Amino acid sequence: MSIVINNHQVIDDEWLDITNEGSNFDQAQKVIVSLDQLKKNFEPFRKKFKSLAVMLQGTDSVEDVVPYLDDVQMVVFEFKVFADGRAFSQAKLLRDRHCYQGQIRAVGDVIRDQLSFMDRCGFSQFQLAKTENTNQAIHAFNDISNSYQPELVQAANG
Amino acid sequence: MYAYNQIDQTLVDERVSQFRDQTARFLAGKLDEEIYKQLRLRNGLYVQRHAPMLRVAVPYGVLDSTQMRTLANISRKYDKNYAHVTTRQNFQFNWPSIESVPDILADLAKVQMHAIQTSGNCIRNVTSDPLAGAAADEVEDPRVWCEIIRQWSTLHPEFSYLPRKFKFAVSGSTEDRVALQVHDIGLQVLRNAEGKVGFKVYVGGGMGRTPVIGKVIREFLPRTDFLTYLDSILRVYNLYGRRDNIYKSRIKILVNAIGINKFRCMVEEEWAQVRDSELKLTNTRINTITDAFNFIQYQDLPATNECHEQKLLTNPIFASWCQQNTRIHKKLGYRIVYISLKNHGQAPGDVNDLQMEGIADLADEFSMGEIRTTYSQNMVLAHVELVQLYSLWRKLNKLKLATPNIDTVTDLICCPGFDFCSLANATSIDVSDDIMARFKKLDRLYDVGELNIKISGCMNACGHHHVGHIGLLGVDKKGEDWYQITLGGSASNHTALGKVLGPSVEKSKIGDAIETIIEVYLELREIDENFIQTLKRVGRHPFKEKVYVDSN
Repeated sequence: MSIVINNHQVIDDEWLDITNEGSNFDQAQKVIVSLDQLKKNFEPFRKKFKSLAVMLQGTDSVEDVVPYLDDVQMVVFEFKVFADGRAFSQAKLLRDRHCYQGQIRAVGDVIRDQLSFMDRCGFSQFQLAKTENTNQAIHAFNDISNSYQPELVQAANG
Repeated sequence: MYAYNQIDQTLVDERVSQFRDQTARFLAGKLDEEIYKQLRLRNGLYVQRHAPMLRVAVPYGVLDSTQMRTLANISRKYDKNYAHVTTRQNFQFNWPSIESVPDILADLAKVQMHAIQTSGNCIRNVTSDPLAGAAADEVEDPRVWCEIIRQWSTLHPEFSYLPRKFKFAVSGSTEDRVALQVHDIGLQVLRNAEGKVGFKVYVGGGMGRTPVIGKVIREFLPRTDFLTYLDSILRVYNLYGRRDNIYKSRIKILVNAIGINKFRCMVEEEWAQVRDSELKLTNTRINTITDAFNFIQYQDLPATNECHEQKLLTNPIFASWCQQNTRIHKKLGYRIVYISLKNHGQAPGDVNDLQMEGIADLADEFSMGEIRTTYSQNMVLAHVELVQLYSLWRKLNKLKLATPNIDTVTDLICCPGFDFCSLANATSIDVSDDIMARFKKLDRLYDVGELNIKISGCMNACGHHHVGHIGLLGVDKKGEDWYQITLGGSASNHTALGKVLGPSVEKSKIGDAIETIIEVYLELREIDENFIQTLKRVGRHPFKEKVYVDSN
């Protein structure tokens, strides 16, 4: 079982990624499906699995997942390349615009030096790239203790 | 100047520690080279042809004498006793070792300086009018707005991994001294018909391989909406800017591809959602930042000074320096003084350690301890009393910083070129030196008058050749340096892109070609006509005919 960072702690990952598989996973409780799979099999998936998560790519529009948000416990953004920053805006839109309260997870080419930015854009879970040391990476959240956006603007506005 | 509070200082200190850790992990082989590259770039560190290059931020081109002395010290301790002023008002050190960079950053942090976001695909250090606060044609001081952008954009969680670099310029005056329309976003402070201060917003300007003049996305943006609107533009760009091709990733390509009207609609739609968010500025917030500047208090001085007038009459060299290198100040009895970093035998924008220390001393003695860097790679002492100009001039002369050539042929802009840069096709510094040598005689220089030459060593256009009255672009022809000539560019209020004159010219003939162009101008000009005006009237043909006479 792989590990992920949740709430700045390392935990075992309970989710099964079936984005590259068919739909024959009767034993699975919590599955991650692609947006395409979700659109095609929403009702059967909802009945079959205890918990559903959907994985989005940088090219996907957040608007497309909005109709399903009430039934999706987690939205996963896959970073194909760590320097592709679209998901920072997508996660922020999910939280701020669409008031999504579930988990938002970063997977793929996720590096420790981006964790703090991701955290502040609304990501809550992180599955780091294979080259990263997850147990050490949890300290990266504290690298910079203050930020200008937008908390301080708020504070200064009083 | 803006004075750091505890939050500003802590952030910069922590960024130093973070970068020290990133560098240590890289040097220990625990951090992948490609990842480290992206991290170091976001902190101003390049790896160049011969050595690393560290670009230090000078936010909106303002620094104090203590900071200048620190830069001089760094150049001695970690580099080769000089530094370089860039067209984006920053400082570059060309020879530090990677291992020493965390220590340099620690030295900088002690004087409220850093290298945060001076490179990489993020919001870069913002540039502004070097005459801010002193210019007679100013609507409002742009530095307050630059500082608001600095804070908002520094280590921005959402906008630190953009499709490509992103450059802001802010002008508070009616005359454009910041090349507003060739920036990703250009902000012009203005007063509307009701007397309210706000911003005209340009978007999608830029140089590089595809030069584009910025388009107006909003004629008037109220002050309180400043950040929410910028936030909206950046979000649309971050989501929809291309990421598949580095040469098509700037915002100008997105704006051109979908058209300014569609782009404006997308931004306004986004803005409707965030306009009343916590990013909306309050007057309290604007005032807090304004107060942190401790703006200069001027004395009431007479408009003229007899001693000064007498020196002007008796010393023609001083008089031409005053004429060429000083500008009117908004306050009577003061002048703005340009320090020329353009001398024969010196790369444009280079300044050595003794000059830096000298400038720091002169700033303390004559200009309230404050120094500016300029888009044209010079410096400015912005608040000099008339009566002290003569004494300042004598001291600048001793430092070889009083060449009276501002805005003339020899005040040229030039990128580091093949001598330093890994991207360059051709050298640029030796070409600029050749031109300086040809126009050493002041009579000739002044006869030619206002004429900007800008030289880039490759298509990336760091020397801004597209907007030079005369632009030179270095190209590589079978291993040899050739130069393409463009005429008619401008980075002023009437921003224009130069047009190619003809086939590129080999290095040994480029100096002659420039002289020929200038001779044609002198021959054809009418009374009081500058180079651009003559070019507009007669067209490129007469210039082309003479430059390519051999090949006809």
